[in-house]
Amino acid sequence: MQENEILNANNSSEKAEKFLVNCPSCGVTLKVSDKNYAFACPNCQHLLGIKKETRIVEEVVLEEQPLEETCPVAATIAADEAAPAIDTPIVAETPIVAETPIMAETPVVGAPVAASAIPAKKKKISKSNRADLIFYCIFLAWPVLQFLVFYVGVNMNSILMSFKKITVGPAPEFEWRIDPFTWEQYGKVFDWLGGPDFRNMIGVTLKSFGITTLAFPLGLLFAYYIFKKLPFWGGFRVILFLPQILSSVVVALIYKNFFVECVPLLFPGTGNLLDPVTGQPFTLLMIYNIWFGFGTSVLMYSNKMSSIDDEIIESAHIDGATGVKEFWHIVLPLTYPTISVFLITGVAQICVNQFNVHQMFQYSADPSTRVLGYWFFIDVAGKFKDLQSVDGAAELPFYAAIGVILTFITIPIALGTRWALERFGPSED
Amino acid sequence: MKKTVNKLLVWLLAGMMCVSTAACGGAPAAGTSTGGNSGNTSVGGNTSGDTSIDVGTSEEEIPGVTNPYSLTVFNFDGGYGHEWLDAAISRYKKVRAGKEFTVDGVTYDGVDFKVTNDKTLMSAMATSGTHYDIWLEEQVPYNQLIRSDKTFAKMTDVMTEENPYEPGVTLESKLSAQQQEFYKVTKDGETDYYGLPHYAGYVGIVYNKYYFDGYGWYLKDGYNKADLVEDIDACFTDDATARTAGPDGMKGTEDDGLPTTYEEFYALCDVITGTRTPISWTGRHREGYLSWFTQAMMVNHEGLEQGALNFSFDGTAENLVVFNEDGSVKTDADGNIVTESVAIDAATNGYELGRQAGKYYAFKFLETIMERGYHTDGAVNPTYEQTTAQEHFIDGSGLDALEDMPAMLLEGVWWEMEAAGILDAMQQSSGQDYRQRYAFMPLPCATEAEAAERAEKAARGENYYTLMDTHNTICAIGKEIKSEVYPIAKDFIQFIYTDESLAEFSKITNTTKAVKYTMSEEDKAQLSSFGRSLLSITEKADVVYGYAKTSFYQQNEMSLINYNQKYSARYTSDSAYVTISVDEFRKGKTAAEYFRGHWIYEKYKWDHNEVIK
Repeated sequence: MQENEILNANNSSEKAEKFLVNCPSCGVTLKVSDKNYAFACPNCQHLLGIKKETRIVEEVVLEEQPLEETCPVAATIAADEAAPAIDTPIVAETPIVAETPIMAETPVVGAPVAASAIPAKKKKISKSNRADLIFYCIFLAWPVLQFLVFYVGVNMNSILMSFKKITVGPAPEFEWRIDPFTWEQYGKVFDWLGGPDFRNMIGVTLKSFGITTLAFPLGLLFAYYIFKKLPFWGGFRVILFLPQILSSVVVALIYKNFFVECVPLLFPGTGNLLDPVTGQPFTLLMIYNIWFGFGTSVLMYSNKMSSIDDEIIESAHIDGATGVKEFWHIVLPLTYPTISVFLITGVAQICVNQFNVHQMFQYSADPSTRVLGYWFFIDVAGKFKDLQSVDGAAELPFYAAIGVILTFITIPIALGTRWALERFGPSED
Repeated sequence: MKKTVNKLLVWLLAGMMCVSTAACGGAPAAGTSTGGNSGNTSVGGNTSGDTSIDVGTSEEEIPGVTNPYSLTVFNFDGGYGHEWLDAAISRYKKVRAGKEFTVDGVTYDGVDFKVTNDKTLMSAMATSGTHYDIWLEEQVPYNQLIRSDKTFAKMTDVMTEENPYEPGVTLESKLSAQQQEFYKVTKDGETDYYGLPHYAGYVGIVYNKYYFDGYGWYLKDGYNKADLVEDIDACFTDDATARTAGPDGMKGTEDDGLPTTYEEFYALCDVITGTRTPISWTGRHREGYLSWFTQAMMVNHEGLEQGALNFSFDGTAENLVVFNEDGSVKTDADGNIVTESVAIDAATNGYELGRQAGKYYAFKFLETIMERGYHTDGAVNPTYEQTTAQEHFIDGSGLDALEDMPAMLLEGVWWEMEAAGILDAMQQSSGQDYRQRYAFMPLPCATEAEAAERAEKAARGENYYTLMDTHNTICAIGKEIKSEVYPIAKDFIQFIYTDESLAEFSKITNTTKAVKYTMSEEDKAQLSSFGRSLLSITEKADVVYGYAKTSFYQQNEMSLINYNQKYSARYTSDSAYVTISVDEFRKGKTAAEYFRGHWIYEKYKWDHNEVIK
């Protein structure tokens, strides 16, 4: 009622102009009029307001620029019969009342207009923009170069290496002959994939991944607990973030010593719980990974939760949703994109994730704890210690080929996971 | 108030971050780790009670030298430390003082050193692109580095020219024939040396001689074999004149009363149990240490030629265990294992070396130790560091009971340098020379026949031990060295390979270099008891090195010199592999089962092209 009174008051003061704009979320064309209210798109429920501004149709040099630079057209201004003819289509300066008015805090400019409706003008880059551009390029040059060398270059080298084979010539020179292209390594890899070692390791890897993934709701709950600032939330935050602050080697050492030295004293009869024969090394390893993994995920989840608009939470409270309902219907859907990122990257890294096995067991890991990532580390890094070229070690092309094959296996799984999460997960909207 | 609480919390958290220092090592060894030491260091020891050797400092300034040239040296600062290098540098600087030379048009009147003491291995340093004038490294894939043209310069003249510091002697003459063959590499039609051996890395059993002497843990001459089971105490004596002849078969030598066979060793463990725990090793690094030890036990049984087959894969294997049809080890009527000879061809049947009898006996040895509980709890504890094992071996005060203190330690010969801090501390607190308490035990033989053969060799004056050098060390000149600096590097290497310098190395580290040299009786007297016992054994030993000049070795060099997973096993061709961390024996597997599993593991590698043939 109150809103209608306001509407009527505004309506009575001046005649509303009608405009057509595109919803910036779904793009549907909406008929709006210029008043001081935002509105909701009836199609996607997106909240938006309209600001009426003057479009710059031609860039001028800095000294000649007007003091207030208005933003370029982003909203469709295609006049209908009632709308005034517009030579230079503009975005409204003041919020405009829609047919179903809803208050919005900040006006949002909608989607770009069709080219035919706006005369196109060539943009010239101003001197200041050029300087900015140069700065950005210089700023990004080093990380881009690092990416090109240490990611693209290294991976390209690995791919090329996977096709090579070394044979050694006769004594006394023992000259190395490098066959630059052969499928032989891939034959060996497929043989290895069918072997018992890979079967054992992939089983342990999947089990480890499954357990650590199933524990992610705990991280979400912890993040929600911290977000809601429930009792002792600060302490929980410290406990969960502490493993991320300290060196992982130190944390692993403390953890191991606790279970090997302290627990048997506190609970006589338990013995060395890390003993591969009498203990539970895999269980302790999983507990460690879950606890260690909380830090990053809880941080990201709680940050995402903090970015949720208070108004949405309040409106949910007004509607009677608190506690679990608030978490399920508001917080979880809005945090879902972050959760998806963690799950997808977890799947993508499944073959190289060590699950901290080396930190716990060095080179003595029992088969029940031996994951793929650990095997890669001890077999490649442990044996070859940075001999990363074909010239360095004849055995390396085999491992390069394993990497390529596992990449081809992992990529579709990761993409499939992403599709499934997007398809079946809650929508942020 | 809230501000104060927050401040306190911040201080508390900052203090907790100091927990990170737990990642630092144990008691610091003598000297510093950044080159040079701060002064005299107590190392070595002698019977007269004077326990310090003045090692000097590599940072001291030499009078009269105003413009020294800085030679860069990379020293792998592992168990052997850097004190020996500091001492050598200190003497060399004095020798070089005043001798002018020119580099890049600048005249220098002496040599200074920039030493990097670090634990980065050679293969990582090679790809780092960092140049050093001189390299002192270990676990070096020598052939691969030379082939890939990284790191090492030709140094044939260093090896073949007469040593100006030792007239009439060349460095080449200090190498064995096998070493000369290995370290010479033919490349682009030219055969040159690119390096020479550094220290020798042996692994074996260190025993607490002080306790052995005190408790009389020496086998009694003429003991009754039946008493080994029925009355163990009757088999041992503290009377130095009543001991058995020991492994060398000669009475009146240092090894009198020590076990010559596995059976005697187990009896020794039985008599120790109750007073102390027989043996310990690092549980955290047991995979590597037990692999080294297995290799040492294997060559102890197989000898030089058969032991070397494990690297060349070229020759006839003469002691291959025969399996029954059911996979069990075949034995004769007397219970001895049956062996056969097989010609080894790397491409087709190199895996057959997996059933060398020496490996079977090595597994049997470990199985018995595990089965009978001769080991400490730390040996199976994944957090038990080698430094902790050394500490408990030297000073049992940190243990719950003195009975938990080990009497023997499965370790590398570098252990005294690693434990230098603890030894110094115990010396200071007790006033006793702790470096005279320990010794290196000759490894026992698997059978009495083997022990008798060893004694016969000793009687004939032949080498009667076989040791395994597991470390593939090197001393070399950097490839990028300036031509004007090369003569200085050459001169320094010739200096540190004189008998005097090599003896100094031994006196400081109580270990040996992997080259031939002699030590005077005065020098030997300055060694610790461990150093003297080690020297005594090496003087009568053949040494198996991780070298070969075959195509197979060239292609698989990194895998062959790496000891991780070296003695793994898989019980069937369809089961995952397990490692030699003796957990298998604790899970109920027998040595015979593990031995067959090791052979299957090796065969699997050949069948599935996991080795490059």
